Amino acid sequence: MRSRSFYLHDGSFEGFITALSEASAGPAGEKEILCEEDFEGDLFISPVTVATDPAGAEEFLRAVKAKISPRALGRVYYAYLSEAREAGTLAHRYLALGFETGKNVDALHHDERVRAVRLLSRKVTCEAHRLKGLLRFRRIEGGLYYAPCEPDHNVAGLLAPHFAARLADRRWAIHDLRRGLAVLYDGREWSIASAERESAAASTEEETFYRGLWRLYFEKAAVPDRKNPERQRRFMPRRYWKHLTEMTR
Amino acid sequence: MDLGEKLEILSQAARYDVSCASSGSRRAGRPGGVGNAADMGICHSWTSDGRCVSLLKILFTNSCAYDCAYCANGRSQDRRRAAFTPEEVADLTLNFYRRNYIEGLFLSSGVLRNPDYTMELLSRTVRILREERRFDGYVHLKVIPGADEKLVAEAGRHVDRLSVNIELPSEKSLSLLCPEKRKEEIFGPMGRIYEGIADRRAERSPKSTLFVPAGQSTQLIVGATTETDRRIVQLAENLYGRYGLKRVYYSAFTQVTGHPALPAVESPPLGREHRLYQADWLLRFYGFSAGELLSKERPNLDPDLDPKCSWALENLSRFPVEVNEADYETLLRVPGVGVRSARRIVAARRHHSLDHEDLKRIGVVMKRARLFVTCRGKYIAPTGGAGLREDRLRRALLEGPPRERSRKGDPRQLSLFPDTAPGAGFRSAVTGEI
Repeated sequence: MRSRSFYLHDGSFEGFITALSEASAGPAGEKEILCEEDFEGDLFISPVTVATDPAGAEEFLRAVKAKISPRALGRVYYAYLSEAREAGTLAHRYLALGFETGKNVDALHHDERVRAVRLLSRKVTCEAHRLKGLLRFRRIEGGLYYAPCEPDHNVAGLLAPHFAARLADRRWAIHDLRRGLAVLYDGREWSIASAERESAAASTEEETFYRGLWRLYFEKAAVPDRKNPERQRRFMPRRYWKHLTEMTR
Repeated sequence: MDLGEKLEILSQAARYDVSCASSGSRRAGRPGGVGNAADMGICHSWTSDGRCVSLLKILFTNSCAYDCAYCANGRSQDRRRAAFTPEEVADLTLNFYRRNYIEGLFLSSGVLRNPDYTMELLSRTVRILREERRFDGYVHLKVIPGADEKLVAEAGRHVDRLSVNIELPSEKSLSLLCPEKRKEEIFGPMGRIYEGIADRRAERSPKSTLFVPAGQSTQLIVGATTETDRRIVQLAENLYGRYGLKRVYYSAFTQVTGHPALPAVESPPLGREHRLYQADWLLRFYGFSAGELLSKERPNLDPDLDPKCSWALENLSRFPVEVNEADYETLLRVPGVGVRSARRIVAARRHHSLDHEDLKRIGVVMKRARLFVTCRGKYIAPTGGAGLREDRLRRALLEGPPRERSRKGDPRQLSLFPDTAPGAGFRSAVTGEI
C-alpha cells in the first residue's frame, strides 16, 4: 500500500509555505497539503499538523526563488490566494518538479503538474483583473469612496496597489464581504484590516445623482439591433451583478 | 436641458462608433492628480448588446452640418439635438472615473458650424481635463475630418489615442454616402498623426511630451456599400502598413436612417463582421497577408469556416505539419494553434518530444489541429483513408453542434466555436486566437 501523508497548515500564507517546506523535506511518498479546516478526519490517517514558522517559510521561499525562479514563487503565491482545497498539493507537486528541473520548469507546458498550477494561478490573476474593471465605488457620508465585493479568490491585496496609484487623492476602501477584510487607503498608503459588516452608510445626494447618470448611460450606449444577453453574461457573470451600479436599482 | 437629458441624447448618438479600447498607454499619474492609464486596458462593464464598456463614449454635440446617408445625426434627421459644455464633459468624466465606472473618455462630435470650430471645442475640453482637473486617465479623441492640422497636433499632445473614421471602404462609396467629406480630409490627418508619432519616437523625448502614446485607429462600416471582404481587408492591410494604425474596427451596418442609397438590411451583418475581425487578427498576429486570405476568384470570406481553416484547406500541400520540428511561423498557420499555443509548443519541445495529449494540455484546439499536424510522425484524425483531402477535412471541420443562427441565417457573434473545452470559445472571443 502506498504511503500518503497529510500536512495541515493554519490557512495563513506563512503556514502554507511552512507546510510546503516540511513536505518538501519529508520522506518520499504521495503527499497532500491542506488547510486544517479542509481536512476531513479519518481513523486511519495521522496527519502532520504543521506549526507555522515564519523564518523557515521565508527561507524556503528564498530557495524557491533561487533554485527555481521568481516566477515559480509568484505561481505558488497566486495558488495560495485561490483558496482552492487542492492548492497546497498542486503547489507541492509543481515545486518538486521545479527543484528537479530548475528554472525551465515553466517551459514544460505539456506537464500536468505545471499546467495545474498555472491554471490555478490564472484564475486568481484573471479575477483580479476582472475586478479592476467591475469594482464600483460609492461616495458615502464622510467622503470615503466605498467598494464592496465578494470575490471567489482572495484578491483584495492584488487590487490595492492599482487603486492606490490611480485614486491617490481621496480616501477609499475595498471591502471583501466574503472574507470580512478590507483594504483601506488613507490618502497616502493602504493597509488591510478586518471588517465584518457591509457599510450601511447612506449615499450622498451627489452620489445618487451620478449613479443615476451611469445607469442612464449604460442603457443608452447599447445598440438594440445587436442585442446579445448571452455574450453580456459570458463576459460579466451574474454573480458579480450584485455590486454593479448598473445592474441594480 | 439638464445634464441627464444631454447625456441620454449624446450617449445614444455615439454608440455606433465601436472602438472600445483603453489599452496601449502607460500614462502614469502626476502627483496631486487623479488617474492613470493601464497598458493592457480594462473592461468595466458589458452592455446588453454584449459589447464592452471601457470609456465614457459620448458626442460633444449631435448637431451636425453634414448629412451622411448612414448617420443618425445627419442634418436632415429629425431628432432632438443637444450639446455639452467642456466643463460638463470634464465633470462627468472625473466623477465616473472616481467611481471606477470607466478608464477614461472617448469624445467625438457632430460638425458644429465647421470642422475647426468643433475641433477647438474638443481640444478645449481635453485641456480642461488634463490641465485644470489634472486627469491622467485614458482619453481617446476623434479628429473631425477637415480640421486644421495645428488643432489636431495640439490635441495630440494631451490625448492617448486619436482617430479619424474612414467609414466607407472606397472613394466611390464615400462620395455616394458622404458627399460633404473628402478623402484628403480623412487621410491627411492620418498621415500627419503618423508622422507626429514617428517624430516623437525618433526624438526620444522625455515623458512629459507624450504624443498620442496609444496610437491611432479607424473604423470601417461593413455592409452599407458593395465592397467585397477582399477590398476591406486590403484596405486594412494598407492602413496598418502605411499609417501604422493600432487597430481597424469593423462595424456591421445598422439601419437607422432609411436613406434610399443604403441597402435594405433587416439586421446588421454580424457574422461578416466577425469573420473580418478574424481576418484582421491573422494579418496582425499570424503573419498572413491580405492576398493569401482573399483573391479575385474568392473575394469574400467563407461564412462557415474561419479564415485560417479556409486558407489551410486551400493550401493542403503545406500540411500536415510536424509539431516537434516546424518553426514558429509555420505552427502559427495551423488551425487550432493560437499565438500562445505556438509559443508554448516551441518552449516545451526543447525539453520533451510532444504527442497529441501534450498538445491538448498545452491548450491547442485539437478538434481542428489534429487534422493538420503530426506528432512524432503520427497523424490521428477521423477523416479515413490516406492523405489529406479537402472534402473530408471540410466535413470534419464543419461537423458538431450547429451554431446559433439568427432568422436570416446570419451566424451570430457568440458561438462560432462549438468546441471542446469549456471556455475555449470564450478565450478565443477575447484573445482572437484561432
